[in-house]
Amino acid sequence: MTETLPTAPPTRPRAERHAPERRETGSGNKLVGRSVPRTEDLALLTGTARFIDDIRLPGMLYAKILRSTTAHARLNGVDLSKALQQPGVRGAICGQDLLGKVKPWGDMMQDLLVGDHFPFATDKILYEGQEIAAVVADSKYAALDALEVIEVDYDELPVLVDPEGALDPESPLIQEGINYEFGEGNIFDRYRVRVGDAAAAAADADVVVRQRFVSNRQAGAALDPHGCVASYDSFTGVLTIYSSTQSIFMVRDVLADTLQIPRNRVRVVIPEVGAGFGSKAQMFAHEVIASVLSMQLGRPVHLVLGRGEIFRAGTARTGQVRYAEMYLKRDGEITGYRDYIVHDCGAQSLWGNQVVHIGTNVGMLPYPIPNIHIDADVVHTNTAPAGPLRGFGIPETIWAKEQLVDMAAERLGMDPLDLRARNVVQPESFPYRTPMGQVIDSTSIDRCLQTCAEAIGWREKKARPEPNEGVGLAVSMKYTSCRHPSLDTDLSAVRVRLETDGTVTIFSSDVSHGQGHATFLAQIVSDVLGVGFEKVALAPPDSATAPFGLGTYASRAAAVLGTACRQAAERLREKVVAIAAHVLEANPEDLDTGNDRVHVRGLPDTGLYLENLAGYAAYRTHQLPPGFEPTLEAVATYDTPTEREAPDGSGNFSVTYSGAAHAAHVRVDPDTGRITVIDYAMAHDTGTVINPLIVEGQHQGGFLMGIGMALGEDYVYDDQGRLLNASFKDYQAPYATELPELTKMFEIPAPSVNIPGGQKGAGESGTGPVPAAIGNAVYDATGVRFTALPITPDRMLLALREKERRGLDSFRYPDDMPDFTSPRTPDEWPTPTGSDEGDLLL
Amino acid sequence: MQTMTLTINGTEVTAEVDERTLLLEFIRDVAGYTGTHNGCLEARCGCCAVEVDGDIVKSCNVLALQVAGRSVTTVEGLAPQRVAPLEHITTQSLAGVYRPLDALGAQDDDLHPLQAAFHKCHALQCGFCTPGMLMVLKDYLEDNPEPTRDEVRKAIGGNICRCTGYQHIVDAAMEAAENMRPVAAPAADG
Amino acid sequence: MKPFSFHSPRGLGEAVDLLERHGPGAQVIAGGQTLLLAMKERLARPSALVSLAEVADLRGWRYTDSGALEIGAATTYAALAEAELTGVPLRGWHTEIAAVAGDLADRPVRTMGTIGGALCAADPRFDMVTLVVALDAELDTVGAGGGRTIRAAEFFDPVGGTVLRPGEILTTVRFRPQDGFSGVAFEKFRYRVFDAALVSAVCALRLGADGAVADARVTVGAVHPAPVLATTAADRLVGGTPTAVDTVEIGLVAADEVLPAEQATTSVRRYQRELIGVLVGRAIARSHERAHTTTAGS
Repeated sequence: MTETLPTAPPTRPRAERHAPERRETGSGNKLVGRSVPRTEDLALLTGTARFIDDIRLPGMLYAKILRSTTAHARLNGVDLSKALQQPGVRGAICGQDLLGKVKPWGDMMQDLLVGDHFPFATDKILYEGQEIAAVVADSKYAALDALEVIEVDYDELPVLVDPEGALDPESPLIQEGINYEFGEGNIFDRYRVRVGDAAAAAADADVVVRQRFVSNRQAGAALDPHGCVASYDSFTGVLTIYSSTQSIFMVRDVLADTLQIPRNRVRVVIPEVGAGFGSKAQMFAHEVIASVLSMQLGRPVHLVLGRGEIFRAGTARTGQVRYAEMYLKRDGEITGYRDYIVHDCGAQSLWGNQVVHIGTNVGMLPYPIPNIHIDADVVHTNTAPAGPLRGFGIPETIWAKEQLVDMAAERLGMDPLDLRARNVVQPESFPYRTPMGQVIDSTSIDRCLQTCAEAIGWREKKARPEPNEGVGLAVSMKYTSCRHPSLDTDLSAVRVRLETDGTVTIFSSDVSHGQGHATFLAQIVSDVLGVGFEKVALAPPDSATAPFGLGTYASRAAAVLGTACRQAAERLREKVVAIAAHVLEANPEDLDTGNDRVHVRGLPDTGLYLENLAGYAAYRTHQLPPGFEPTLEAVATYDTPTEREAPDGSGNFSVTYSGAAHAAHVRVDPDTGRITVIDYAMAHDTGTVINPLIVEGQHQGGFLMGIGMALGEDYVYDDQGRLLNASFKDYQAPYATELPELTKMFEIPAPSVNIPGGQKGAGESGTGPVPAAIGNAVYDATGVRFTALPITPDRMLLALREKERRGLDSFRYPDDMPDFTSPRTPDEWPTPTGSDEGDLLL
Repeated sequence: MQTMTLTINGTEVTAEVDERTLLLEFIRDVAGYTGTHNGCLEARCGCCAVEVDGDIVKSCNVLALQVAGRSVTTVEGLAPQRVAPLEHITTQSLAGVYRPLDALGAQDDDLHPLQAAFHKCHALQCGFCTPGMLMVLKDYLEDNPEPTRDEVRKAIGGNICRCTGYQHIVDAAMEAAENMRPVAAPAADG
Repeated sequence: MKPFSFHSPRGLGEAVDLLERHGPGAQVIAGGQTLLLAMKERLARPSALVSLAEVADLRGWRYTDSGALEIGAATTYAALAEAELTGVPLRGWHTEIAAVAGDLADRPVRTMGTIGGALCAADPRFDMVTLVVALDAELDTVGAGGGRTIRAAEFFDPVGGTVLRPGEILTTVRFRPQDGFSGVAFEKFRYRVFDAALVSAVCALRLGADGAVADARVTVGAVHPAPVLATTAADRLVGGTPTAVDTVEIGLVAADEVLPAEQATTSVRRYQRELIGVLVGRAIARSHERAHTTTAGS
């Protein structure tokens, strides 16, 4: 596999195509480590792949949802009678129709006593875009026409948009009638970390830097819309639901629980999923609505959301306001970190409160800070539901913490590179447990840092700065799997089957939606089993056939799913070797696998083909060793050796940690405020890379999310809670024209020790450091320290003008703007609402 | 309702349609070519891009009746399914059929050079935006066979991809451009 | 979308008849790139659509005997953008029209979108809206009551929309002959390349025999419901020589004129005010340069 094809002779015009040169080669004949192009591509490239909106079932009807246009209101009644009279309409439902018939959900993930999610608003509207009613009809147009004649009677209530407003006990109460274990009013949960003695660290510090930071709401905005097709068979009681989701069993279990039907009567089938980024990692109201309508009508119901609906009612990144402090010694040692976080989960949220736990804990890396004191008030506002989004709280934490590092460097008169190098975790021996509890099994973060700085030309650029240009650094270490405080599990499972012709089928419930599972799992199986890569296929995900697993999120696929797959393949290998040993009358230890066969070690051309061995196990069972259980399937479940969060907030939530060091070089147009990223360098430690090209793509995609968060993407609300940019026209998702060339990418592997293959998660390393690296570079270029995201041209220019007008060398935006009304200085900062008494964890 | 005809990927499709039918809906729901995707319905994401008489349009923002009688090419038209292939994929021929590492795009009956380059360069992850990207780039590279990377970025300046960061897409476009450029043919008519 | 009937007339007369027959709910559709967005959101609810796609005389452009440039209202941006490759290439400052047409929205939208469609949609952020006012174009219309010619500045209602009457069709956009201006420059700021302008500015100059500016038009778009002529700023240019003009200062004059500080109370407005100054300054500088090149070359 190392030769390239000869260039075709130039006399054939259509064949005058350059033979592609290969990018990467692995070592030996193993596939792990090689940039094998993806097997899933062909269907996607030729248009034959079927996404949710492409599913057509006989007799299928189309449903559409009426959503609230107000953000907070008392809902008095919904009149569906006119809608039901409309031509082509087959049914219509609203919240009152389902009261007592479907169970609220959301209790499991949030540790609530009862669920706070329901398919429709019943007596109260909590946010703009909340489900009010649904119509099902013969066509989409008929359903949309009918929505227009539904009459909704409501009385508006005062609206709460500002998360800090939620701290006021007098603020309009959003969720009524829900019991919160650790909160009250609009504060529905609390979080705290008490590691070491932060007060003593503050007292002993030579330098203290403090700043209030705000981070933005960001949409996943996966292009493939959220949606499902539900089909209920009233005779068998089986509900089949095709859904565009990241997690089969989260949908199945929560849906079955909500509908109160047996879990083995719900079958979740996953078509191609056009990305998620966390925004599809839960069950949604539309999945319940389509199921209920199908159960009522006995016909398949198609319900795919429109873009505006997804912006308003899909989940968006949690918003944060942070009052952050960092304590340092004169030599640059970071001795403490203190933070008070107001964490905005929108009007309702399944995962939102978990974000602050994981994002804050893991966000402390790559520094082993000995003294940490953090409080968080987790609040509801009348805004879009919040949920996981690429980075899961880490970009938010890094945004604050890595800017504090630069502020400290300035105060200490140190180069920000040197200050980071002084502090990044580089233990003398592994595994090393940080004060925060993370167990570092390997890392190359120090080399990542130096490499990206060198690639951007850090020293030269700091020595000879160009006007309006600047450079910035940020580092992070990202979890590779995650044991959430409320969801005490971190497992994936794989079943592999050697088919009777020697091909292999992999079954998994972790949905691939861009990560290339079919390819990298086949690479692993091919290496372990010695079977040809092209003979390995991944079965379409289906809850009826796949082993139980949590789903694809938290950068866990390569490490957790990959490990389960490796273990399953190893078990299968033991089986085929056992059969071969019996047939060949050889000692199993003398046998090896390769070239599609089991052979005597050192004699790869001898032995028995897998095809024959599989045939024995299926059709010629008398050939099997005595007592051998026929058929060749093996299943493995891998649950990571991770910990639950301790009462002091510490703990090792991830099986290993991926390093990321980024360096940004920006130019700011002093006339228009436009910020151009002219160069960007990323160095990552993704452990042993299974497929370098896929990992590179993950990093580049992660960067896109980071740059969107840094420079444009945001949920812009008016004071009545109306989302003003719920379309791709107004929502500033970056196009290709907004991104720099990403060629300075470095992989510095420190193979994981905990993971048998050595791999680490790739999905989110590209995102975490980006906003902070850009923020630091913008400060270097202009002297304007952005404390709120995103850094848009208008904010940049207004900050520059105000800084100029006041004749300042450095300036904070928006804190130093004349119209800024939030706390400006530490003496104005609020105190956390919780007390130190009591145990925040169960 | 009006009766209208479109030629889609070389096949005439006639149907009686609601006047509101978008070109996107005609392609997907009437003609059954679901490779053309609906990502936003507001002409912003580009997933629905197709060619009409050789010009690129966003099919979610064109009424089918506006282009009645004209000829449409969708992603399915770039490398059509082989009709009644003489050789089916067998276990033995799997290795030969799956030869994406080097060979795809190097022969006449393979993928379009853009599809091959997207595959080789890993220019797609979830693949939802891919058909639109392919169609826009096909249209663009046929007009501008020797683009710069910045020009390619501008050409896909109305197509959103949330997965790739665009880097590999631009790589693929540059590579495909090379393979799409016609060989300097001997001047036929002076 | 709400239900509607769809009509494809072959000629202008038939189109006018259809609009009259279907009454006030009838609407013209050219490329439909703006109208269809509004219809999908159910913000526009026409009962009948009269398509101009088959009306051949509304597409393309020509130079009249007097040297004026007449562009058919249903000419697409894509066609205009590639004017230099056609049998009737645009000349001199008219090429700025093609340049503007080729640098808005994206290729697929330019394939369908038409100059007349943009003008009738009258979205102030649309580049063509600003450009026709800036270049003092004349717009020809026909309706059941006959035809009329409207100057671009009067075509747009200052509070938004156009002065088109129900059933009236925009047919032609006419730009001055070459000697109307010596140099024209269009500038805009948009967040992303695909976005509509947050502010656009045009400077159109005519130089006298002495090389001094004899005539100037400074126009700012996207700020108010219709494009605004910054006459004080333009007057400041007259009588000067291209090199002596302090473009920054006149940009600020334009900003004061179009969006005075006391009106710029929100951050978006303050930003637009800053951009007016910058973009007008850039437009002046670039139009001067072009006027100078043109004059020197002739």
